[in-house]
Amino acid sequence: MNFDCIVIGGGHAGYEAALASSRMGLNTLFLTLNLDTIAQLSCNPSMGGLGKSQLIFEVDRLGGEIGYATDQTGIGFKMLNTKKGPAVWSLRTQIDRKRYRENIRKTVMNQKNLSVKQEEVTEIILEDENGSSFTKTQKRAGVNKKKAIGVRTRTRMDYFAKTIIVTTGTFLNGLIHIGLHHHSAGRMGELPSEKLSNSLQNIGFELGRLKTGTSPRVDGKTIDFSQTTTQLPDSNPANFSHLSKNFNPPKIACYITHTNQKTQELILSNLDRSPLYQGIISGIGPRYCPSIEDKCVKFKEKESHQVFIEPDGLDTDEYYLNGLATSLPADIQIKILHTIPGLKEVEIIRLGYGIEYDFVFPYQVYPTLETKRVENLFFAGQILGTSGYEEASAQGMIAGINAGLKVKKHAPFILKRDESYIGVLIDDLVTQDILEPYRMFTSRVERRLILRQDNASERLMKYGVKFGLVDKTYCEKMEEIKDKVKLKLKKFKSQRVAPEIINPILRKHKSAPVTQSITIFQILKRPEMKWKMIESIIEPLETEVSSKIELHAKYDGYIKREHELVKKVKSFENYKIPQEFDYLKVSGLSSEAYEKLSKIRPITIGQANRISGVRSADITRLLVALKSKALIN
Amino acid sequence: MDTISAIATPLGEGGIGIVRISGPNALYIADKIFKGKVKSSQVPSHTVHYGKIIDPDTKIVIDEVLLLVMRKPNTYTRENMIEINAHGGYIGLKQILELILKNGARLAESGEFTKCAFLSGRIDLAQAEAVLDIVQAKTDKSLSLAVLQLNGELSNEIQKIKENLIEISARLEASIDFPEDVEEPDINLKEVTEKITKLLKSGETGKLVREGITVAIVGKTNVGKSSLFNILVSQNRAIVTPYPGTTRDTIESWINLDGIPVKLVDTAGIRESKNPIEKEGIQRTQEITKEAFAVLFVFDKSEGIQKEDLELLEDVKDKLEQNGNPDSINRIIGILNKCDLSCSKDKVKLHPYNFPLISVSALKKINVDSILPAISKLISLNNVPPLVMRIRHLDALRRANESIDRATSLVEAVRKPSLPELISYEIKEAINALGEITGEVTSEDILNRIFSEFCVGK
Repeated sequence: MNFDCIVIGGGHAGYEAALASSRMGLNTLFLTLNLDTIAQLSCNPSMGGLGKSQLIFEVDRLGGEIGYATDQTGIGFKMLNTKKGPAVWSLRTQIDRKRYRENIRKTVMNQKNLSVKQEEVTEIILEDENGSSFTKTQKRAGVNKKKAIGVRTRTRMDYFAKTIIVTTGTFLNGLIHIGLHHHSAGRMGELPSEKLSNSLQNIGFELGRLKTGTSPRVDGKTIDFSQTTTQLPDSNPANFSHLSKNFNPPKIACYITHTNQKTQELILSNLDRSPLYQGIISGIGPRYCPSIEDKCVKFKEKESHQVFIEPDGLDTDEYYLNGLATSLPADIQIKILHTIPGLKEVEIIRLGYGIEYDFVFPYQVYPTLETKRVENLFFAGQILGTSGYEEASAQGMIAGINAGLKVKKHAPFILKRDESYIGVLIDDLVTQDILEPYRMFTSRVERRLILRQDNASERLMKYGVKFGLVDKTYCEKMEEIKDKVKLKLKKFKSQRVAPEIINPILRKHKSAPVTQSITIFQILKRPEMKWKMIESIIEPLETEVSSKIELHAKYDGYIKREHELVKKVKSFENYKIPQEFDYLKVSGLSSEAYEKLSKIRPITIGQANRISGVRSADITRLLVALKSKALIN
Repeated sequence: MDTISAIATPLGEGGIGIVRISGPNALYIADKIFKGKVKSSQVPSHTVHYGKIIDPDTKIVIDEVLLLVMRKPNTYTRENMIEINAHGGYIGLKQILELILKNGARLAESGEFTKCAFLSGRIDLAQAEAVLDIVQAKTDKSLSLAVLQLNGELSNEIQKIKENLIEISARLEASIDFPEDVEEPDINLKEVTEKITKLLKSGETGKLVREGITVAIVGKTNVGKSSLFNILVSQNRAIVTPYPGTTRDTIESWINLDGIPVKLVDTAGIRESKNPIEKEGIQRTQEITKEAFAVLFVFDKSEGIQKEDLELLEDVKDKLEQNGNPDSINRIIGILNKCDLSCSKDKVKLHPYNFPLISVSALKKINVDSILPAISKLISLNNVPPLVMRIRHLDALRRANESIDRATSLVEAVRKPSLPELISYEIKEAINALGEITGEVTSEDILNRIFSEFCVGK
């Protein structure tokens, strides 16, 4: 059977890739180990948060599914960081785990051009290599490319396609640890994918091993909520997707409790039964999401750690204990919970566990996520060493779009660092050393002030429309708002308010009173002054407009500086390095730089510059070599 | 990539001199001109060999030498390097150099070895510039200053400030990316500001040590300025002039003051004049005064201090202030000359001015020895320990300072920062500016700091 695109794996990278490619008109085959668990949230039942919500907004504006499904199945939306400036606001919501799965499954099943099969892929089929000869230079540059043409399944079925996207998450040689016992699994209760890993290794990919962990889930009927603090979601919540209308999601609370000295003592005295501390787990875990064992060992002086009790869904009493990721044995897990207020008599439904899995070092893919070694083969998601639903979804989207463009013989789609979080994510993956599962943070984003949730449409919707993934009427609507903001901004920069009108308001909000009239813009520029506070003295405006006006006032000067910086490095970022470029020909390159550059093969000078171990002197020499090569040609 | 060569030791009659070759053909060239027991291309790296430099064409022996063979990459330039230790003397060394150039090397441009070292990543830019400063060092003290910088004194100082800023940045970023784990920090930038200000101030001294300072001798006509100039210059052996084209002439000369090059300038006596030549001289005097770091103001003690002196003194003060010295009085030393003659009674007192006064007689050489120590004292009073040397450093420091200033005003706007992302923006800019001197800081460095200091993440 012949397809345009095959997507392997039904996680967040998988469904985005499959949906994007089929929506771009590709005849797509979606292969998953288990149709009932596609779009599973394997860890906590929540979407978004710092850095991650920006990814959701961006995928949504490109025409992805994650934002809309989240809006449809979220049960407690909360905007984080609202006391800070809008560039770091981030939306997060609790998710009804089951509904999310069902929602995506329905979308996938109803998608035109998309066939779904429950199959385990065991092998990538490559085109026969028949005696084609390559020069040494081409070989060094990896030009002797193999081509992927299909996949073989455990049932000995062969499927052929023009492009193949592998999104196997933690399933490659997955190994679950609970205490000193371990067993093979892709996720608790699900089979791992064992043979595919060998196939990838045989092709020549460099694989590594990472570790992550998850927390116990408990029966809500056994929680004493009176001992916990309630965290309510926003009463007037914002949504992720441009498609959501009349947004009115359920508002289910989370609860907060804390570990104490007893918890710590218990954990420290049972480290002899921790696979993490007995050297059984070799994979590297994330520092930003440490197990409770790690927290107690590394931060001994901190006696108490927060535990978020998160609802698993509307139809269940199951709760996820966020903050207690652990791979300690079952009997210790329950004892730990019983030291914590509100959980003294709690019953565990599902144990926490650690999981180790194979990943492909991401320097082996281009920013399109196509592999350098094998043409037409793409990787996306956790297989490339990332962590998180949102990170996976973003990569799935990019791989899906690029598979589509490749089949249609269009130019590839690469987002830049200074236009999107997705660009930062992928650029980091292809240039940096992966030492732990990669997670998005806003602090990774140099141009954070201009890459915000609120302007995701302005930044990315044009691409979504171009690829046929977003209806252009949304783009038109966005332009309307943009024009209105521009108009009103101009007005508020000149419209003045007399001291006798504004001073009572300023005093009320502890802002210094004025002696002369002041513009609306100047008032809003003050960090302590919000639109809401002066609403009574100006014309009413829809929130979409007023929030942008406030933002422009708060960031006055900074947005301009950001754009200047973007402009400054533009030539750098656009300076292309040919993929077959022979780094041996650059004289005086340090050996480390030579090694890294010829391994990573950056596509621009800007990328080369971000590779650790490549120094400015190396860049100078590289530029000289590229320039002289250009002259010869 | 060219092979380059140059004489590495100062020109002049030294005991030995060194000619250096660097580049891909260094060993090959040495093979052609050096005859020892073994060929230089076949010996291990970093070894010394005795032999002779012989012109391969004429077979004439030029010198007996020690040849040092250093293979890349562990050399100063990261290229193959040869150092020929020959007998000193300009002619001999020049012959060896010419032989090398004839056999395939190119004459190195000034500082090119250092540039190679920098370009090959052997040393960082701050270090490379310090090397250039060593080459150009004019007197002993500025040599030691350059060595200090090469050892990373400046880098250390900036590193400390950078560390401080990374710490603050990590706290801010932690509170932004983990709002439920980390509270917004209280930011105090006072210490950082003080440190940067100190470095910026020392920039002036750094410049002064490298380029020298001007001390003008000023006074009305006939108070003995020229005699004073002559005696100061003759008693202190003038050093090699730092600037090409200037030689010791009758009106200015360089002297070595505790290692700092000092340009002593005798000025025309200032008085109202209609004579065009004299007018020209007066104008020049005023210009020099404006540029001067310090002024020796000469009075005629036998005549007493007169109204004309004081008018001139006010003028000098103005000129010094125009040069950016608000406390101009700290830059003046009063010289009461002709103390050997009988003094007339002071008609006007110098009381309000409060600068040091030294009674001397240039003619009889009385007490002139105390003038230079007074200048030294004045320099040290007006400066802090010298560290910053390069305009590039100063520029980076200034930009860092501006960012910190903006961050400070953001911090002050509200007690708790409500726009921490802007404060963080400024602090990152400051870190980047400092990174131009001592190496960049990446977001990964900040994240590492966050994870080592905060227990974050669910």
